Amino acid sequence: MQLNGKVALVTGGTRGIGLEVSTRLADRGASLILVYKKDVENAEAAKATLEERGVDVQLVQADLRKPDGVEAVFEQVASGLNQIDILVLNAAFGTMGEVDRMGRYSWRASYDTNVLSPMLTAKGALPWLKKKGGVITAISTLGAHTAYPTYVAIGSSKAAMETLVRYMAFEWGEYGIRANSVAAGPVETRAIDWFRYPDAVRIFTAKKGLAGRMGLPADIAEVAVWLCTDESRWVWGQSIIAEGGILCGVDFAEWKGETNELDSQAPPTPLPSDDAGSTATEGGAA
Amino acid sequence: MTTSCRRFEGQVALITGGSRGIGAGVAKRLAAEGAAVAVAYNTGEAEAQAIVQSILDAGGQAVALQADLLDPKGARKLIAALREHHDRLDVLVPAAGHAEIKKLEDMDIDTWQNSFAIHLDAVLETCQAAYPMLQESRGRIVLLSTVGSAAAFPGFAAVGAAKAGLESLMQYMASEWIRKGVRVNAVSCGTVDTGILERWEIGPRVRAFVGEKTVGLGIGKPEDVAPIVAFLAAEESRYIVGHSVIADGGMTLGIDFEEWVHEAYGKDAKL
Repeated sequence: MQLNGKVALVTGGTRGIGLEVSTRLADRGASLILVYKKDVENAEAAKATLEERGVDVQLVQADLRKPDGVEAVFEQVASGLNQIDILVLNAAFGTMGEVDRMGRYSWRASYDTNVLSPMLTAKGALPWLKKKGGVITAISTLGAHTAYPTYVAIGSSKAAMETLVRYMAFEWGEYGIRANSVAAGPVETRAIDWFRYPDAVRIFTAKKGLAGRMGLPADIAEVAVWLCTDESRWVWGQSIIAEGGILCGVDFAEWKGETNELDSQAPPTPLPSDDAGSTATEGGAA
Repeated sequence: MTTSCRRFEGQVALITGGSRGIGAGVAKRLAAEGAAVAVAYNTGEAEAQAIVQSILDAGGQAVALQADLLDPKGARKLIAALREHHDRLDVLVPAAGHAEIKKLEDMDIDTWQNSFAIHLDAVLETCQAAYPMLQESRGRIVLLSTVGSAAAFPGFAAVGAAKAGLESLMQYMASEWIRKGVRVNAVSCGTVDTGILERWEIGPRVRAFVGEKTVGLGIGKPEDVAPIVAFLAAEESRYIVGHSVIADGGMTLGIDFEEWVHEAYGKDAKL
């Protein structure tokens, strides 16, 4: 399914799952608007690689958690490619930690990036998406459908995002805008290192996931790109779970037990305090 | 056919209930992407032959196989017949089914058991019979369900409950068979124009309701659902295991089921 003549805006599109999505959209002929937060060098490198596919690539640096950051994105879109047919809501952030360790700062940071920013971004893209009936695809996580160790801020905010996406499908269906999510199991991206025990995630996923291995960004990107094409035209307002079969008859308690076991050997370091400042990063959901 | 990719080149696909409706749409779609398809039918021989002919005319490969899947030996006979034509099987889509509208207060044991026999027993037996061949080819099974399994549609209990059982069976097959290389998923369809609405007394009212009163795109066509089945049968969905993908054109987003009941049975009816 070719996407020639279409323009896709991908948030966090310069690394991880976002970059894999961007690459596949470019392979199908779509031009790209890639929104990234701060790593200029990485973004320029991604742009150069993607342009080799013969598509236009516009880079936009922005902090999407801030309303003026979102406004600035769409001002640049208007003066740049001035078209959006596909919106991929991929940028994600979250602080790892259990419920009893969670503070207002960490909580807000997750919700601002994973819920507020998709809402403001989709609203900002709406005038373009309305023109020909666009498509919105959001990258979510299996942690929104079940409970991972230390994952409440991301899991619960992504659950809220999936519901936001369903409301977009409900309210904007009349403009021909189709919105869906992909809920990814643990995927080997930089975000895995946000976990206190990244290897526990890897071991669990490979051992308990029926596919027998960690997810790769491409595993998720191919589902997301499919949701952006007309092939999935009858899928509206859904969340497609792609997790290599982890949910099929396994017990997350074992993973939790392993986390507790490792914690008992060495207590976890404290989370940043409310005034310690953000360590937010863009990238795909874990 | 709007697709230009041929993801099933060199592969063999078996579609039960392939002579009509969604099964026929899936057969045509997989054939267009290079699969050699076996169209299993029970009574619709002429329709099955017509599907096969249309595939052959388009340059594809297809064969029609008769099977009575309600016969306890039916599934094994079908796979034996398939082996006479092909030495491999990559994709199995058990699409055979029927839906009789009957409210629970009027439900009789035959209607109930027939629904479970075709939507559940026959699917289990077909998947079991095909499993050895699917293992050899790291094959995929895509089951067909209905959004009526998670929500109550007027008069749809026998099908909805059987399909809920099927979706659970899907998870068990996925978990038991994925490590043997066989990946199982399902597509949960909204109302699709398969000719079945014409056989239901309330069909015209369901058509009007879904077309005008739901927020989605209305009644789907087999061609809308077939690409989703194809996706779940293809490599690009390799990380999706044991799930049911809802494909209803948005029909159940914010649906007013009570209003549907009133459309179907009159405004005094209760949900």
